[in-house]
This record gives sequence, structure tokens and C-alpha cells, in this order.
Amino acid sequence: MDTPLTAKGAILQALVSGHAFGLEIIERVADRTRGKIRLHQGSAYPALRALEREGLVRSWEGAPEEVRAGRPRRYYELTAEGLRTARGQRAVLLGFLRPVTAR
Amino acid sequence: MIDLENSEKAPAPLGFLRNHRRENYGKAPWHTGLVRFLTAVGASGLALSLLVVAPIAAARAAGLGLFAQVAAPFVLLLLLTILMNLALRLIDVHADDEDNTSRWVRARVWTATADPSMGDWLRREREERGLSLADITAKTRIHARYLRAIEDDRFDLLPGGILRRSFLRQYAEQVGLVSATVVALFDAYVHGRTAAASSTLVLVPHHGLAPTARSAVSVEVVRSDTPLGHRAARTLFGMVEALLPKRLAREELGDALEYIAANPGWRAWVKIVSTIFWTGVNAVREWRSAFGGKQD
Repeated sequence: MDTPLTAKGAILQALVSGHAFGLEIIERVADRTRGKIRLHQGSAYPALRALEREGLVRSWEGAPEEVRAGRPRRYYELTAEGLRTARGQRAVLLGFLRPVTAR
Repeated sequence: MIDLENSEKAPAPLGFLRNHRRENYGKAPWHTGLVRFLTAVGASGLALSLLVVAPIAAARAAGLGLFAQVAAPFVLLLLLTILMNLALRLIDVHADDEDNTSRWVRARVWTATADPSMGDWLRREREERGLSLADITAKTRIHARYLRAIEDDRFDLLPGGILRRSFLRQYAEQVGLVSATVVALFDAYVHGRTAAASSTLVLVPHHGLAPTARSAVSVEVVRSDTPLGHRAARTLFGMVEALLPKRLAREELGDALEYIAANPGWRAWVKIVSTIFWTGVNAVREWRSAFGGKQD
């Protein structure tokens, strides 16, 4: 299925409920769309780095972990501007999706 | 050639190779160095063209896109590694006719996460071999008090420095563990560097074959009951890691490893291949945006 969301938009919405690391974000998006939208590792990570360059998210590294062969996780959270952008996008989408009969 | 009649000691097996080289040291004809240099250049050029240029040219000839062309050498390397590993595993199983168990299955590993106390682990290894502390004392002349201190994690009761390492090395040799690895693990453990120690391997020498563990703390191997897919992913990701930007390697390879640990089976293998491909692609994108200023 074609997704109605861009990777960046999906990531912003997923991060509204709190900080997360890359794999967790991908799983959060899949959970909340009942598996219909799966962010791809070829698009999710470049999108995360692009969002950080734009100042919409910030990131930091956690402790090294054995299951990752000593590599740390990189956590992302929304900046104030990112949260504003996420709310704006949500309002636009909800307005667009409002049933036509409600008018 | 060496003169066997006049040599003082009996030559070691294959020692003539070394002697030959030593005798001729400084006497090589002038062109030897040049020939060696040209051979090295030729060999590197051949390897480069076979492993890098050939797959790129093949991808280009097949009309694939830029990303596929960049990823082609990665994919070739991956396939070669998988084939080599498969071959090694086959050889391994057949070489071990005694009980038809691969020696890798018998590899013993101490990891801080699985076993918080290194002393307990060492004691269990010793007891499994049916050795008592008195046996070790008889062989090594180390007082049982010190051996108990090792097994009780009471490092404060041990003498310091070289002596402590010597005790531990001898203990490990008697139990049949790779002593250099145990000592390095132990150092890390005593100093609380469990993160470094947790990814370290202790192999049990088996059938007289030297274990493949290299210098201790840089060895990156996992518990022997870890699924094959996860072990393969660690090895392969460790290989491609050097080619990737650090942040990308930590984040994407680490996430992939977590996914593989949670999803064993065929999904793990698909993830390994797709991760190696996409990290290559993402790295090229990173470099392009870093050097060319182009943003995705």
C-alpha cells in the first residue's frame, strides 16, 4: 500500500509520545498503523538525520549494549519546534480526513 | 641450503625455511626487492579489480542504478563470506569424528551479562573437568587460599600486579582455558570494565587445535548458544563497520542486531543482507550531503 505519510511526518508523529531510538520508532509507526505503514531502514535513518539537521529533533547516545555488540542506542526526541510542527501536521491531516457529511 | 653435518643442534621441523632466510639476510640480489614490490602491487591490483571494480562494472553492464552499483562490492563480499563460513563449518564438523560435535559448540564464554560473577564461572568450569583445588595446587604450587580467592571474587586477597596475573594464568592453564584471554578478561573484570569484558571470548582448546581467539579483548564473539544468524550478523557487521561513518555504524548496525536478536530464523538473514545493502546506501547519502551539500 502506498503510504499517505512521508517518513519525516510519520517519525514526527511517533515521537510525540516520547523519546525513542530508531528501531523503536519504526516499530511504533508499524504498531499505530496496525502494520500497514512500515518505515524502511533505507528511508527512516536518513529522515531522522535530516530532521535533526532541520532542528526538529535532537538526539543523544545511550550506554553500550551487549545485544548490539557494544554499540550504544541513539535516542531521538522532539525539540519545541518539532513538537509545534508535529501538532501542525496533525491538525492539517485531521482536517483533511474529516468526513465530508459533517459539513 | 644448510649444512646438516656441521649444524650444532638438530634442526626444528621446517626450521630450514627460517635458517635459509637468516643466512641470506642482506645477500639478496638487488632486484629481489623490486620483484617483491611489483608482485605486491600486482596482487593488490588484481584483488581490487576482482572485488571492487568487477562487481561495479557488472552492475553497470546490467543497467542497474547508482545505488546498486555502489552496493555491488558489498554484496559480493557478503556472498564470499557466507560461502567461506559455510565451507569452514562443513570442514569443522567432519574433522571432529569423535562425537560428531563441532568444536565451536564447545566454546566456553564468560559474559558479564549472563554471569555476573567471573569467579563462579571459573569454579564451574573447573568442576566440570573434575579438578579439585588440591589438584591445581599440586601442579602449580599456588596456595589453595589464593585459588579460592580467585573463585570467590576476592581480588583484595590476591597479591598485586604480575604475581596475580601469573596465578590466574596458571589456574587457567590447569583448567584448560586460554590463559591469555582469561587474564585479559580478569583485568577488565577487576577494574570494572565489564562492558569490554562482556564481548570477549574464552575458547576451550579442543583436539589439540589452537583456538582461533586472537588478542583477548579485541576478540568479539558471543555465547555459543546464540543463534547462528545473530553470530553471523555480529561478524559481518564488524567487517562492514570500518567502511561506515561511526554514527551510522553504531545506530543502524546496532538497531539491526537488536532486531536480529528478537527475530531469529529467516528474518534475521533477510535483515543481515538488507542492512548491509542499506547502510552502504545511507553512507553514500551521508557523504554526498556532507561533501556535496546535497540534502535528501
